[in-house]
Amino acid sequence: MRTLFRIVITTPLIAALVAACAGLGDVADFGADVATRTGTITEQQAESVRRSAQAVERSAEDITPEQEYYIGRSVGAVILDRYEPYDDQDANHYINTLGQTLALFSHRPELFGGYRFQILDSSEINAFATPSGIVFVTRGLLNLADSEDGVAAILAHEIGHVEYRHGLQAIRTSRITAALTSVAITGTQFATSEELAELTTTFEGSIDDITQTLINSGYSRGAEREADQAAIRILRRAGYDPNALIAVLEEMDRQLDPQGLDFAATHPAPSTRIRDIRSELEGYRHTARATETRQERYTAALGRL
Amino acid sequence: MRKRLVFSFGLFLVVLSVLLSSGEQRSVEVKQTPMRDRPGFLGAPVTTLSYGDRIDVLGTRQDWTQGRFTATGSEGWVHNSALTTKRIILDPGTRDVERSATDTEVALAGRGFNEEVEARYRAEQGLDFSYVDRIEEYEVPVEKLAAFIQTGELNDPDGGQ
Repeated sequence: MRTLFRIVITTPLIAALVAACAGLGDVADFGADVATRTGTITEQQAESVRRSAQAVERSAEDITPEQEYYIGRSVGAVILDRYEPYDDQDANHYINTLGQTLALFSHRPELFGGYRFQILDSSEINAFATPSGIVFVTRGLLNLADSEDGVAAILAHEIGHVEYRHGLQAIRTSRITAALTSVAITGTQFATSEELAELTTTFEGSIDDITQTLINSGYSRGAEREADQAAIRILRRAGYDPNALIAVLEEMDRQLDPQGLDFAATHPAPSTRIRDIRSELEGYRHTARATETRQERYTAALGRL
Repeated sequence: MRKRLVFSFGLFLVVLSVLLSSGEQRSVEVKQTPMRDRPGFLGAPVTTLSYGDRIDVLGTRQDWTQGRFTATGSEGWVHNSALTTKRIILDPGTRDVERSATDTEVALAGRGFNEEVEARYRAEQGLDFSYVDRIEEYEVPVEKLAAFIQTGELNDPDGGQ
């Protein structure tokens, strides 16, 4: 009985001790802060600490969803500077309902500002996914599909790019390091206009890196394969036919001008993608459901494109 | 035999209280997210959490974390993609800024690429953001997504949760 009593008394004490140890980092931090403020270490030493922190290379993974959101908004504004939005409320509402439904089945359903979809008024075969989750898709690309499952395949591929953060990976590492460490060394937000100007230049460079990749050079073949694999996974989980992605690519293969500046310039050949997708889908049998309802709502929303 | 039983029970109590007192926490890293009454997108919202809000972790199930929102005491489920293990500091002071330089478990809200940088970039480039603002309003309520899923005979996004 005495042993049990001893245990009951000592248990909370041990727990309190462990909890106190967990807070030691905070105490050390506070000490360092006091040391700087009281002059125990000089401003020069503090600067040296800041510089060594600056030397740590940062990568796309270190960009917070909040910063990703601001990058994405600006990439969106640049795309809308080059392409006219297709201003049809029903059509845009439909692809938002479809796209936001698909996002629930992705590995990354929650983004800082959420997924948004917008049709572009262009006959070019193209799509752009901003890092923040705004997905632009042209009339030309949507017209390659002839069913809701086909449109779902197009949108799921773009969600795949967002899920894997391919857009952010297009930013040069030196810019990410500059952006994230200048944040760290600034005591108060933009104490001087030079700091704001410097960070805006880095921001501009980052937006250029992404839009250049999205519009001109395209992602790597590996990134496109990852987005196709994500599309297959999302379509299967949602209950759409992943073979619809093959049907869209076959139509793309028929319509794409090999010399074009759209998907022809930025994506691997549709035939290559089809081959990879077929091997991915080997042995998969899809059970078709509600095709009539899906076809009706697809035609009602996108039939006029 | 009895001594061993008492010792094992004591050890269990120690482990239990350490676990309870160490209190794992998560921060919300998206603008807003609902805390739901069950681990699924179609669960009813208990409350809405905002960027930087901290929750005490009560449990996990697949991609969902069960938590208690410290500020109001509300309990419910949040999807893992809305959460981070980092502590998000909404109004960082000098000490937080210095700490963030070396501590990767700290994130500063409103720093770096933010509204101010976007405003300057917009002015310099002469870009129009009004349509981007409009696109951001295209949020489809989850009840409408649920109806779309049902009529299209799609799978339940919470299936198997």
